[in-house]
Order: sequence, then structure tokens, then C-alpha cells
Amino acid sequence: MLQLREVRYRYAGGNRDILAGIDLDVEAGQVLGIVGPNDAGKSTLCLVAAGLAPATIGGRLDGSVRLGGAETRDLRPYEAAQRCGVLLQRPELQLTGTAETVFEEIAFGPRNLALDLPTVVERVEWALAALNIEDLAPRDPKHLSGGQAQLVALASVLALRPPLLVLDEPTGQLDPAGTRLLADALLSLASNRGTAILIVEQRTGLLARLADEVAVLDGGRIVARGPAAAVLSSPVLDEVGVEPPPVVRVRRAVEAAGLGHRLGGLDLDAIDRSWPPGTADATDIVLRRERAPDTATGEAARWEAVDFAYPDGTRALSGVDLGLGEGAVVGIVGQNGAGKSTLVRHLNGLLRPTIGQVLVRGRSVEGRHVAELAREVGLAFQDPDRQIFAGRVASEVEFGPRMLGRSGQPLADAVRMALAAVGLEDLAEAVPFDLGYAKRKLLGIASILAMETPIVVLDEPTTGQDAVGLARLRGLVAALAADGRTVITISHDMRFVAETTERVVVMGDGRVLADAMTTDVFAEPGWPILRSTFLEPPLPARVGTRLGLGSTPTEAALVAALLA
Amino acid sequence: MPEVPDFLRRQPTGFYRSLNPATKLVIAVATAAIAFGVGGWTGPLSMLLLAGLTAAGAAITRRLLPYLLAASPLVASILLVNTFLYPGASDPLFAIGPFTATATGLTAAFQASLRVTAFALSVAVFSLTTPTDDLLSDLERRGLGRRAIFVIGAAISTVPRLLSRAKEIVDAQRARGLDTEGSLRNRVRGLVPLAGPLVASTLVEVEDRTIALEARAFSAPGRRTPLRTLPDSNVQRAARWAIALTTVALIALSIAGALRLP
Repeated sequence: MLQLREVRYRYAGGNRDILAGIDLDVEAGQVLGIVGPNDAGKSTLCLVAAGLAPATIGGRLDGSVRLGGAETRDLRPYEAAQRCGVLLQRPELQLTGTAETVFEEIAFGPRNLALDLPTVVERVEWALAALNIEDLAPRDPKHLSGGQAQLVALASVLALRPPLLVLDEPTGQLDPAGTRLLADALLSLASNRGTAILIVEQRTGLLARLADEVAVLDGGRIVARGPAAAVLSSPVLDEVGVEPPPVVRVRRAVEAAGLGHRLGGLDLDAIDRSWPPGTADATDIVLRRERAPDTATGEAARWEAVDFAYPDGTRALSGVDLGLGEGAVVGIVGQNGAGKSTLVRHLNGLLRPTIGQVLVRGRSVEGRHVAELAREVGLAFQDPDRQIFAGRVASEVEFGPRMLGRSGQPLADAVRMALAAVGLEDLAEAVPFDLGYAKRKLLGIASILAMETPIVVLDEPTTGQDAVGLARLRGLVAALAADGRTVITISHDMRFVAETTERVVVMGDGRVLADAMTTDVFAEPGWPILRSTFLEPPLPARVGTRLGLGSTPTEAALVAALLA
Repeated sequence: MPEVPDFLRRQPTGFYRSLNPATKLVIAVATAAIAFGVGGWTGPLSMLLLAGLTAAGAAITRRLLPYLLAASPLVASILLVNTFLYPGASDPLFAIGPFTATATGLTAAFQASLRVTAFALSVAVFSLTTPTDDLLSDLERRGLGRRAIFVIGAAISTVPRLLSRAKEIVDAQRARGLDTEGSLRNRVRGLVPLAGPLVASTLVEVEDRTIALEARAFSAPGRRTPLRTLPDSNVQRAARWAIALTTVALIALSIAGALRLP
């Protein structure tokens, strides 16, 4: 279906090969996972495999890329599109911008192929059903959440019925429920329709479930390839800087402590796969919510009976009462569209409550300019591309502290410190839009760190990060906490939340469903709160529960409980 | 046999919205052309009135503001340049430093501003009452090529995207301490760092979107499948021709000096 031989590719104006001699095959019905550190060439591989590079974006391609037996250089883009459907990293840019409804958006591809109307409708309905998003059909694509846009973009590709799918981090903006849904849909396509799938993912746990084979890309070369289970548990992942799947990490952590025999009878893969999503009733759970104790003296932020509705009438927050102490390290979790980002945008005045009030460090935000609140609240946006605007990395990071009145040496120090904290110190002169997504994400965070605000909000900081980036972010949150700053992290990455926060706020449908210590949220019998919002506790918590060990949300906690 | 869902068979509400896209396009072009092509006050004022009444009839007056704001820098510069620097004017009104405002300049400034505002309103009324996809389908039905349709579609969808991107950039800058609230000075200050990033990110986005369209077979040959039939009638066809011919005649007469209007 897809065959690459000795493929080398460099971008127009580039001075090095991003792909440096790739050989790979993907057969019908096969799922090939691609992993690799940031800047390994994964997204470029997707563009080349789909026939978009160099046909649409230019550059120089050497070697052979064959789609369904034909060289991509001999195919017109619309011919390649029928042989290979491609989903890129930023779903919102894959939407046409001209469709008024999701239905029309998905119909765009089949209509371009001049199929008859009943066939167009049938394909759209099939694609909607395959991803379980039929209810989105009449919605305006411009008003979708990131996760919803990702599913609609994928449905738009599926509607072309390509025999090969090339997916570049398709779960980047999906919550755990959306990720499972996507995985089920892809498995069904591969097994029932014989669709060949090449999928780039940082979530190796997903690949462990999906992929027949996994190839490891590093420096534009494939450095390992083999059956998924073998590659995902091999040391090569650590060597190149890719996080192994949760099952592998838990097993390794326990075995390293000499406690491997305690897992003897457990099938970790089965536990990992067996999570029953969304069976609890959220309305009961609200009543059972507990307030976590605040250890700090002052209060960093408070939402008092806050309701918020967007101008189009969409109600995003309902009766939110929440207080966060100074120095608290809090995780906010919930499904796509639960109101998490809306909640934190009230802290710096980008959004104002429809009803109720918001206080930052004891003072109401009402009547205070966003620019004034920026001295107290630094908010790193979920999508770095909605935040980044400067032509130079250093200028981007300088902007905040400069606006807050810093100059000279203190400004230079703040920029250096922030870039070093995210590992971008060598890229100060780079053009932000030339960086890969993961680095742009880190740049967005650095530009907030440089402002040295007492409250730091990180919206989905781990998206697209490799093992090095994740470790850096974990260290960063710990360092901010040690510095006494209040850190609020919104994340779908339950492992990151479990490892970095002391308190978790669970949101659903614009309401606070739970507000409790992290260990308690992940230790609830049966996890009704998490299940009600389609979230899943990290694997160590589930293993600990199975072994009757109490709350073990992290690998370290699991090992400690086993030792005790 | 699968059928198009009911929500796609949307029935436009009101007289103007239910017109064929081509009819609305002809009206919009005619409005803008007369506003610019017919001299004096009558051309721009009557077209401004027409666009305003149409907007009120289509219940979109509240959504006109972004379009008027987009035109405001141009209107401001027209007012200043014409009022103070109108070539050959010799009827001074007052002076600010070395610059002298003239009555001729002021008249020209107001007329030109009205023309630009009428143009902005005609664009706004058209784009707010016409689904882009309907326009593209209708133009394609009339034989326009796929590439031309893409350019028109991209241009139309660029305006709201630019506005939304501009808001994102301003939000990102405000969240990092740039004060754009309160005084006029602050608001103007917020516009200055906007232009460069807006252009740069738009160019980046154009490439990404081109990739996305190619990946969805946009350049395939043949006529795209229409999702619905668009209303048209002999009356509308006749009206389009009548409007187009009247517009050309009015402009020709005005240029020839045969149209003596205030």
C-alpha cells in the first residue's frame, strides 16, 4: 500500500536532509506506529508518505515513494488524496473554513470527487458514525473544541475512503475517551476494511494497543523496527528519548525494586485495556464532592458562584465555586469542552463572568485591565500558535517582562532563565514558526515563565512532548512549587497530573464535580468521579487497587506501597 | 437511499437572505460601484442608505461593527489627508501648525469617507447574508473554474479568520501585559504590534491550508457535487441584468457629466 525506498527529503531552502534514507512498507490492514523524539522527522515523514511533499510544499525528494504501486511524483495531489488520507497535527487548519456545518465540512472531499449526492451523504454519515460524532453534524465547525475539531478533521479524511491513512499525532488534543474512541475506529478500519495505517504518536500506550509494528525514527533515520510489543519494551525508546507505554514503565519500576514477583499473577495489559468508561452518573457525584484542605495561608484565586456563557449562548461554566491557596499546585481535569480553559481565562480577565465574581489574590478582577492582571497571572495557552507572534524566539519571551516594565539586565536574565527552564536556550535567535510543534509549545510556556508571576497556569503543557520534554516539564512544575508559586495545570495526561500536582479539580459540563487531594481522587473505590467524565486513572493507581494497596497514583507510590 | 439531512435544507429567513447568491453579489457590486462611480453626495449617500436599510431588513445591523472597524483606519486617513492636503484648494477653514484645513478638502474627505463606508457595508451585507458554500456552488454552476472558486472562497473566509487571528494575537499580548483597554491611546497602542505578526501567521496558515485542501482532493477535475439547489427565477435573472445595466449607465452618465445630481 505504501512503500518508501531510500527516501531522502529536505525542505526548500533547507541545508540538511530531514529524512536521511528511509525504507519502510505498510501493507493493507496493517497498523505501523512511528515514534521518535521531537525533531526526528516524523511530521515530515507524514507529508512525504502522503505525497504532499514535495508536490504541494516544495523541497527535494530523492528515492522512491509509492502509493498503491504508483510513484507519488507521478500522481496529481487529488490522485494521491484518494490513495492516502492524511491528518496533520493542527486539525483546525485542515478544515476548509467555508463550511457552515460539520456535515458540509465532511462532505467537502467526496463532493470534490464529483460523487453522486446519495453517495456523498452515505459517506458523510458513515464517517460520522465511525467516530461516534453524529451529534456534531449540524454544528458550526468554527465553534468546535480542539478535540472535536480533531475528530471532524479525521472524519473528513475518512470520507474520501482512502486505502491508506497517515496520521500525525491524531490524539494530540483528545481526552482519554476521545482517544479510546479513535483507537477503536482505527482498529475497526484496519481489520474490517483492510485500511493500512501509518500513525505517528507520542502516546506509546495507544500504539501498544493499536499497532502491529512500530518503527523508531531518530535523526531522519529508522533506528529500530519490529513487532509493537518488542519495540515498545526495548531500551531503544529510552536511548532516543521516547516514553515507553505505561505497562512497560510500571513493570520496570516494580522489577527495579526487586518486587517483580508481586505482579506475578497480574495481566498488566488487560488492566490497561479494561477501563470501563463513563458508567457513573455525574449528578450524584456533585453532592459527594469534598473540598481539599488548603495548607497555605493566603488565597491565590477564587471563583464565586461563577456562570459564564459565550456570546453565541453556549453555557461554559455553571455555578463554579472554587478557591485555590497561595502556593497550591493544582491539576484541572475533565473532558474536551468541560470548561477547563474557560475557567482559567477568568483569572487574567480575558473572559469575564456572566454571573458571580472572580478574585485574584484577594481582589476582585472586575474593572481591572487584563494587562494589570498579567502581573499576577501568567497563562500559557493550550495552542501555542494562538500565543506566539514575534519573529524571534528571544523577542517572544521578552515581550511579557518588557510590558511589565523590566529592562536591561533583569530583562535579559528573565529571558535567559525562562529559555533555559524549557531547554530552548540555544534557539534564542530562531524564528518561532520554524520550530516544531513541541518546541513552539515550550516557547509559549517560556514566554509566561519570564514574567515571573506568582500564579502560573499551564494549559495542556504536555501535548506533543517527548520523554525529554515531559521530564523537563515535571521538573519545571516542581521548581515553581518549590519557589512558592501557585501552579494550575490543565491536562488530559493523568500521569503528569498524578506526578506533579497535590490537588485535583475535576470538571464536567462547566461544573466542578470534585475538588480533592490528588491521592484521594485517584484512590476512590471504582473511580466514579473520573468515570463520570470519561477520564481514566493512571495505570499504577489501577494496579494498586487490584492489589489492595490503597492510593498509588504514580509508579513511585506503587513501589512504595509494595515495599510497605 | 441516503438523503441530505433536514438541517442542510435550510430555508433562509426574509426576502433578502432568500435571494440567489448571484443576485446578492450583483447588488453588492452595484452598491459599491455606484458609491464610487457616481459623483457628488447622491451616489455614496443613497448607497449607504440602501446598504443600511438592507442590513436592517436582514437583521444583521449588530454584526456590521467589525466591518466598519476594519474600514476605520482607511476612513481616518482619508479624512486627514483630504481635509488638510487637498491639492489646489484655496478656501481655508482653520490651521493646525503648518497644516491648513480647506472647505473643498473637507467636502472631498466626507464624500470619500461615505464611499468607503458604503463599500464596507455592501461587503458586510453580502457576506453576512450569503453562506460561502452557497456562493461557490452557484458560481461553479455558472461555469467558473475550480481554481477561481478557491481564490474567491479563500478571500471571503480570510476576513473573519483575520479578525479572529487578530483577536487571538491581541489577547496573547494583553495576557502578557500590553494594555489595550481604557483610553484611546491604549487602544491605538494595541494595534501597532499587531500588523507584523498578523501577516506572518497568515502566510504560514495559507501554506497549511493549501496542504489541507489538496489532501481533500480539491483540485480534482469535474464539477463538485452540489448539496442543495439554490433558488433562482426569471424575475431574479431579469433583475440582475437590470441592476447591472443601470449601474453601468449611471456611472457612464456621471463620468460624462450628464448626470446633474447634488
